[in-house]
Amino acid sequence: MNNRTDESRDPARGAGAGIAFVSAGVTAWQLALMQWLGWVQWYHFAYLVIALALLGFGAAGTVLTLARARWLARWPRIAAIAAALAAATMALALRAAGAGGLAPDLYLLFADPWQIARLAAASLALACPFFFSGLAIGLVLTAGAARAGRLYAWNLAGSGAGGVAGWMLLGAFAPTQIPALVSMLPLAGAVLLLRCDALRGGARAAPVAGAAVLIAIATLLPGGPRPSQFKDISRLLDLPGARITADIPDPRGRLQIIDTPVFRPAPPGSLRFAAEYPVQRAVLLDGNLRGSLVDARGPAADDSRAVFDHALETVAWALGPRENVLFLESGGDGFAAWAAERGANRLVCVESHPGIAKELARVLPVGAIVENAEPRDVLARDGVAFDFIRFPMAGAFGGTVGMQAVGEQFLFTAEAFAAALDRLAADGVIAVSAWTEQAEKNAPRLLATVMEGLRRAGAGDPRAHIAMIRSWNATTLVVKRAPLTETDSAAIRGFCLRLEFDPLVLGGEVAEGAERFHEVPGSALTEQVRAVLDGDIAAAEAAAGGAFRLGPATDDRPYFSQFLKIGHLSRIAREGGWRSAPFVEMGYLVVALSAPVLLIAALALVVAPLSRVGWAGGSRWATAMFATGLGLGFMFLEIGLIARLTLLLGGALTSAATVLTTLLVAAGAGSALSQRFPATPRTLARITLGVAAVCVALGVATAHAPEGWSAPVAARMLVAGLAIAPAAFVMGMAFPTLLRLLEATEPSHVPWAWAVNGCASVVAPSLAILIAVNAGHSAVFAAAAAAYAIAAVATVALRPR
Amino acid sequence: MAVAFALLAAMSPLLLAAPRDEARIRDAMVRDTIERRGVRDPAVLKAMRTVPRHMLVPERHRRDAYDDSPLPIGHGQTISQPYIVALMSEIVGVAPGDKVLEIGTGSGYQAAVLAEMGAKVFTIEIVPELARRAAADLREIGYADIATREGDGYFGWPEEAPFDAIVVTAAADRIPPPLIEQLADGGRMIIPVGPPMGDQFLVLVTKKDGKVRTKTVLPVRFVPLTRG
Repeated sequence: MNNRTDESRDPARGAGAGIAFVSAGVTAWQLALMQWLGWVQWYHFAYLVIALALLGFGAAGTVLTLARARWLARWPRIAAIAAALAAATMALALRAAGAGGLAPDLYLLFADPWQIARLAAASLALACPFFFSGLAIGLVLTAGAARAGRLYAWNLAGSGAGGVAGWMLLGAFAPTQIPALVSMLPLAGAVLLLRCDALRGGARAAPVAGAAVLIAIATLLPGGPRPSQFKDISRLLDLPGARITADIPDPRGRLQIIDTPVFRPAPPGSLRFAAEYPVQRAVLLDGNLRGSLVDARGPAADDSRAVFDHALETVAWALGPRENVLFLESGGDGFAAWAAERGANRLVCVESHPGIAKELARVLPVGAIVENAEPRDVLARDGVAFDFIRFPMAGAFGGTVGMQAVGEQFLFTAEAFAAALDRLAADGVIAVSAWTEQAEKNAPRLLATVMEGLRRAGAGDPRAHIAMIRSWNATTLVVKRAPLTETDSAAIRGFCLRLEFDPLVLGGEVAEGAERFHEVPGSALTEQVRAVLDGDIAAAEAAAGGAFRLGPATDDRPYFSQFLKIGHLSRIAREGGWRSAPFVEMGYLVVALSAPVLLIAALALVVAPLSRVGWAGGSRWATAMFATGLGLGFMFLEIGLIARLTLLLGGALTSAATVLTTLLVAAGAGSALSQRFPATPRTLARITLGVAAVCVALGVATAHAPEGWSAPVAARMLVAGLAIAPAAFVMGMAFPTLLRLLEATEPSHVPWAWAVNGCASVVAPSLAILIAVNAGHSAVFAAAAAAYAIAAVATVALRPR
Repeated sequence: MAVAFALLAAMSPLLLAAPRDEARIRDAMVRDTIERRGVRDPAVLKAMRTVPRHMLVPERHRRDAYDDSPLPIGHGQTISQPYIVALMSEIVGVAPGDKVLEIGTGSGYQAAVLAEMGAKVFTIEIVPELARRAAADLREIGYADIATREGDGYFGWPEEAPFDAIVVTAAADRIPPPLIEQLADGGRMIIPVGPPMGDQFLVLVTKKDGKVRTKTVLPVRFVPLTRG
């Protein structure tokens, strides 16, 4: 073994590039993890991944605090070993999390206590790469404090590059292949960090070689978490002859198409249909059924068109011919072809996913226009007036037990319907449907949302524009730009009689004979609809027992599928048993439960170990309050901005990429430049009060962001980034300034400030979602402002220099 | 020695356990969960007391066979909870000698209950492995007269139509026209609607003088799985 110290070299040279690679790996790994877990489970893991990342980094900070004195002398080697372990665990963690059938299943979380242990074990496994990466980066930043500015720059550049690399990998490889590829980044970081080490020879290469072996083993191991048995993909693949005929990776969702000779979906329709439902291709995004495709030019075309002769939504044609028709994220099921046969000479299908858009172009009738764009973007543009606009179904067939409750749905808001009304011709009609439920929620909320949309579009009496009709398992809402006439009502009545549907609302009121063909004894739907038509949402909610919100969804609170009022959960549980209560609205409760669980994990892993070093000093509560305010405020603003800018930027992922990159770069620059300002309580008060004001300003400004802006997406991203950057710059100054102040006045508080800030950051994403769901995005911005204001108040009690 | 003693002590429940009295447990299940929740048809209750559900579930779940909960039978499918089976059997109103078509054999439990009520049962399962296993299990426990078929239930069983009753055991977004066609005049079809794990409701489809009507019968709260 050859041990020698090279005095001539700057020991930190190469370390910057090393942590850049590790940082790149962290960002890319986060993206890969989000997509893989979104595929095997549900998108709820996206925020859980953010929380796990923060938890891993927080725990690493605590370990560094405790071991700093011992590790600093050998920092390059220890940082390299940590980077190598980060690489190995990136490749191994997902396989470990799903090993031996131990992967947790959210569906079973409330039914099987072991699932909680599985989830905890899986979370710990998935947090390992973040922990080791945090150790490597933190140790380099600690050792190279004198060149902190430059090292920060490497760190930020690496994070940004990792985002780009991750995005590209998601578009080129299957989720199962990406972890091993991503692990090459921290492995390269480990190699670069080892170059800073005095140790020479084979011993120096040992960590990298060991990690490489582990990565190789990980690529050879079978499995990893599989899609939940309850996901659509699992159920479809159980059908005879089922095979995946297309599997296209994409950052916007993994597209898979399954062919099976027995998949025969159908739109809500009449029981008088006596022909054969055609076999269709199942289209899945991240393992969830998104729709179906039938080739309008193939042998099944005639059968497919016959189905729509009996479909609820074709009621629009009873009111007159439709020449210009628009399908929003739908149409491949044969409806577009039916419309073409019925005289539509301009068919436009808008599809936000590029892969599905390509498939649509293959199956739609010749001449149909497929536009790969966000539906809200298209609705907001000026252009040809449409005679008919079809929305996708509200809710999924059979429901999703509220799995989508906390997902933003900007296509089902009052603003979206108002925009669609603006795109209609004078006699134009919108059709939108909801599956029937045991406790009706989707249909009354759809009505409430459409009525609010009509009000916003300037309709004098919204009721005059609406008709509702029912089949045995669905309700369709027909909205006409002009008020429906007596002739229209008669035509709808005739359509219902012919196909044995029940009219529910005609002429602005509940129709007579609403249960002629389909009896629903005990259903509150009629009463709910009557109350919504009267504008009395409270009465509509009371008619169904009061446990569900039925008010209109708006862009500020775009959670169409979130109904449960949390205060009523105990009553629901008493009636049906606690084990079944979560299935009323699983998605919301998963988030609500995760907040305390994450807090406990953060306290146990980040704060508790610090008790060994003790925490004394007069201003510790002020320090804790300040650090908490910063942790919460930063994350609240980040999540509020991502949600708000989705419409401006034409998609959630574009918004997330813009906001995260801007915050990362600008806040990092603010951190680096904060050293030029005096570290005093007054400086901190000014910074935090300034950020609080900016939070309010951004909340107001983004609420009025121009939707459907025709500028290229890149230009929009640039403008949004420039608007956020100044605020992010100032936000980034707060924490380093606090640390400098504490270093000078009460050094023992420094690790505690890190730990408390880390804990608050871990819990903040869940809290932000809960605030948004219950009070809207404006409230999230207000909460961010309040958190910074609390931090400002805390500065009064901080010890001055 | 201490280790051996500890092991023996830990295993003693297994070594000393008496064979379970399945009939008594089944009887208690019918009394406590099915009758108490309102199922009254004597033929249904008798059938539920007779069919050995534990013989139709995977061996590792036999101890739970008489809990009022569904159990996994593989391929993402479940054997329905006993209450739902009893309720559907009562609603569809099977009389001795009726011809009944079941879509979705699964474990074969629903078919066995209908057969026990005196119906001539025809059952179709789309997942080949489940179809073969159910056919074998039904023969083994004495229901060899149940006609089983492996295939797509969409097309029904035209050779044996018309049927006095049709029981569909999996929620569907449409009722296949062949099933309506194969339903006898005056016949009844029961079909569940709703998520596999959540609130469901049963829809009763009737056919009279060629006219088809539906009626939402009853909300059903599903009790989720206890094991994956």
